[in-house]
Order: sequence, then structure tokens, then C-alpha cells
Amino acid sequence: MNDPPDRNVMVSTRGLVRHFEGGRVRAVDGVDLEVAAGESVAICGPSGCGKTTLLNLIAGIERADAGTLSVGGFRLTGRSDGAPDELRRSVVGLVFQLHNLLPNLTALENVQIPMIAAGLAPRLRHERGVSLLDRIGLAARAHARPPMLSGGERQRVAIARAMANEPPLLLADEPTGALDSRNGQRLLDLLSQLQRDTHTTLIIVTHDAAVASRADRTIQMLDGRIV
Amino acid sequence: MMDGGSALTPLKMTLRNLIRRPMRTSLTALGVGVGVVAIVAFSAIVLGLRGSTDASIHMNDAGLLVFQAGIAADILSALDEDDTRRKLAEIPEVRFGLASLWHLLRVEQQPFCLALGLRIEDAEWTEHEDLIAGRYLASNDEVLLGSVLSKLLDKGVGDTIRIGSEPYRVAGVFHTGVVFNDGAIIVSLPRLQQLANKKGQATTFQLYLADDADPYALAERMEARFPEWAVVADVNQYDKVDHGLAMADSLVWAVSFVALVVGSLIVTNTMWMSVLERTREIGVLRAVGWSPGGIVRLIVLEAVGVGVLGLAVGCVLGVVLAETTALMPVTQQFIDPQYDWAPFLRAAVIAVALSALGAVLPAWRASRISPAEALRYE
Repeated sequence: MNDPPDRNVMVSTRGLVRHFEGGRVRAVDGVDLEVAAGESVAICGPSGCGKTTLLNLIAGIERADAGTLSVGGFRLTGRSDGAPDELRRSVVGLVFQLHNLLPNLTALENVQIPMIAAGLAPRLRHERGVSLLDRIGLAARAHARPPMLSGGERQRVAIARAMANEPPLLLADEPTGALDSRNGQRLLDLLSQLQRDTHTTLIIVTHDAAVASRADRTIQMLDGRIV
Repeated sequence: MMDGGSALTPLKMTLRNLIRRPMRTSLTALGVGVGVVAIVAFSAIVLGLRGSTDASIHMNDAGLLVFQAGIAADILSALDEDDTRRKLAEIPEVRFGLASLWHLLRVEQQPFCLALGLRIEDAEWTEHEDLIAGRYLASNDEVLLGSVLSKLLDKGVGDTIRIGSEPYRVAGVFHTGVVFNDGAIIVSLPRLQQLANKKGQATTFQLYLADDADPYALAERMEARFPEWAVVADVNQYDKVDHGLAMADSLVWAVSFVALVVGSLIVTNTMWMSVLERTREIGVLRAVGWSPGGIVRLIVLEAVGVGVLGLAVGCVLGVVLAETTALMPVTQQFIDPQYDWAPFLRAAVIAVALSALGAVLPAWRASRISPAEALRYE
């Protein structure tokens, strides 16, 4: 069962727990969090504090050991069906620290990958892919493969891919971590602009205070807990 | 504005993945192709054998062949020539029975040569109509050469050839279009009976029937009346006297099956390697919403792509192998490859199915990849 959609709450967790190594490592240890629709939230903290694990739980690519988690009306805890797949197809767009583009596909084709999963018609996939690349200023690089793109261009294509299915929630894990400061700034500008234009909820994991300062709200984590 | 171009599809992703490692894809396709080669080449050869056998049965518009019943191979048939003639004379639908003795001889440098012994006085019923040079036999010291054998021996009308230590003059060269016959030598029946130590024997009688005779019904009646005979009306009845064609059919299946199973295992190995190498990429696909079923379809599609490539390569190489085999001096007297859509269709179905089957395990492995673990994978 999914929760009845609450248009004001995008993410809601109660006592969320994720353990590794048989419980010896408590990556996420009883997190209560609520993120409103349209809000931008930065999750900060030192390396190993559980930021990425929390983001992965919200994205449905990690499974919680305890607690409750609801994302965009999908209740992800206590079920073993294809809900996480559906969540990632329709609600969540993911941006990783590394671009994770498929090297044998062009920029335009990489952007279309999530749309295949969502079952969009080929013509619409192509048109939307072209439009997204145009929007991020990479229309001229549409047919370049990732090895031919700069680090900043690859990460912008990764953002376009995350926006491909027009998700209401964008999750970004250290999106500027592999970029120099100039490209990092440009990328953050792009993310902020896209979020404003599309009223997307943004949760960004970072250990960079400057990045966090752009968000509406900052959450600090330490040893798997929000402090 | 950028130029157009078609949308990304799973098929396009498959093709991109296949050309990503061209050498590996080619070698895997070749592995599948070996099985296809076996099916196409052997089927063409067996089909040729069947066609030649059928053409031999009906040579010169003959209707039936009579052999000794209960034999394991046609060439082992031993009919008493005089006794058989007497019995055939009692059957009104039989206009004439042409006695023929079959034997294998070494002729000049050819190690295996089919020799047909025919009576000189039966000339009007024999293949002399197919003579392309010279004339029919006039004495026991003369022979006729089939066109293929004539070419192989480089002998023509007026030349002398040796069978054992005896010289024979080539009286004529014939061409029937049936490779068995065109690779044969025709000797007078008494002389071949002497050479084969089969005095008074014939291998078969080729029967010329009355116009209104039904060969199939007549064959049944003749066998009922003379149980010592096996009477063949067409190639499908030839297993009454020779299991060679049936054995060849079985051999084609056995060899093809083994080769394709090996091909399938090669596909499994390749796809398994490919899945391991692309663990992170598969994790990305899962992370952006691809379902396990979608991943399975992608991997199986890739394997089927390899199978189709192997099919294409195998069909071409199969035809080349069959034709090359037919050109070899030892085999060109017996092999005349023929082609039919059925073996190609069979090869296509089996190659694609076994390739897909070979992808099952890797696809299952890929579908089980956890996106979180895959994204941590280096």
C-alpha cells in the first residue's frame, strides 16, 4: 500500500535505520526527517556519517532495516515489490558524485535512458532529450560520447538525465565533488535554476558549506543521526 | 538547433554494446556460427545425396528399382539375374527390367569409383541418350566414362584407361546431371561380374513400367508376391535397402546439436563476462528506474544479437564449406550440394533459441544486481 499523497510533504521518515556488516555499522540510525514539496535541503556532515546511505534509502536503492519511509506517496518500508523501481521511474531523479554516464552512448542517448524505463514513446524520448540538452546548454554536444565531454559537461548531462522523466524530487550526492570550483559553481547555478523553474524538491548531499548555503534548509548528520 | 536522429531504443543499446567489444562479439558469433555451418553444410550435402538418389531411381523415366530384400546397404544386393528376369516377365505392368551390377573399383588414380555393369544389348534402355561424346559400348573391352570422372581422369573418347592391370578403351562420355552417375564408369555386365567375382548376379533391376501403372501400388504387390525383393518407388522408400541417408540425417542432427550447445555455452561465458564488466552500468540502469525484467530483456537481446550474427556468418560459411567439399577430387563424384529453405530456417530457430538460452544465467545474475552495491563497485 502507498500512503495517500500529501501534496505538502515529499519525504517523510520516522526512526529510519540502515545497518551494515551484521549490525556492527549503523550507517543510518533512527532518522526522523520531513521534506516539504518544492523545498531544497542540504544534508551535511563528515565522511562516513551516513549522508549517502540516507539519500540511497530515499531513492529506494537501499532497503531500510527498520523505521518508516515515504517518498512522494510511495511507502518504501515493509514491502518487497517493485515500488522502488516505480519510485525511481516516476518520482526521483538521481545525480551521482561521478557522472555514471554510459560510455558507449551519446549525451542525447544517455539522457533518454530513464525515459525507456518509463515507457515513453521513442519520438517523445528524442524530443524531450533534445529539449533537456538545449536547456542545460549542451545542444551542440548532443552526439558526443562521455569520453569526449569535459567533467563539467558530463555532470550537466547527468543532471539532464536525472530530470528526464520530470521527477518532482531530485536527489544529488556530492554533485560537485569531482569538479573544480568554477565548474562546481556553474553546476550549482544550473541545479538551482532547474529547481526554481520546475518547482522540484531538491535534496543535496554535501560536505561543502558553500554548497549547503544555497539550500533552503541544512541538516547536519553525525554517526548516522541528525544532530 | 541540433540535427535530428532516431531515439534511443533497447535495440540500439544492444547494437552499441555488441560493437563495443568487436573481437569478443565476433568470436562468440563464430562459436554459434560453427553449429550453423554444420547444419547448413551437412544438410546441403545430405539433400544433394537424396536428390541424386531420387534422380537415379527415375533415370531415363524408369519407375521402380528392385533389390534383394533384407540387405543393409544397396551395393550389397545380390539378385540372380536370370531368375529375376523370369519373374519380372510374369508381371504385365513391367515393360522391361534393366539389370545393373554395382561395384566399387579403383580406376587409374581414383581410389573409389562407382562401376555400373550394363548389358551391351540393353543399349536402347540405358543412358546412351546422355552421351555427349563417342558411342555406346560395343565390346567387353570398352567403357563409358561419366563427365565428372572423365574430367577427373583427364580421359576422353579413344583414350585407354586401366582397371587393375587390364586396359580398356573409352568408347564414350556421358552426362546425366546426376552426380552419382556422372562420377561413375560403365562397364559391360559380364565383364564387371567377372571383375567383382559375382557371376550371374545383378545389384538391381531398373523397371520401365506401362504408362498406366501405379508404381507405389505395383511395388507393394511385387513385394507381396516375391518376398525376396525390396522394391523402391522413390527416395523416401530407399531405407528399405540402405540406411545411409537416414544415418546421414541423424548425423547432421547430432553434430549440429553438439556444435550449437557448445555455441550456447560460449554465449553464456561471454554474456557472463559482459555482465560482470558492466556491473556498475547495470546498477546505473537500475538506479534510474529500469526494472529487473528490463535488464533481463537487454541481456537476452544482446545474446540474440550475437546469435543472429553467428547465424549470418554460419550460413555463408556453411554454403562455402558444402561447395568446397563438392570440389574435392575424392568427393566430387558423390557430392552435389542442394539447398532448401528448411535447413536455414531450422538453423535460425536453433541458433537464436540457444543463444537466448545461453543468456538466461547471465541475465538472471544481472537482474539480481543491487543498484546500491553496483554503484559502489569499482
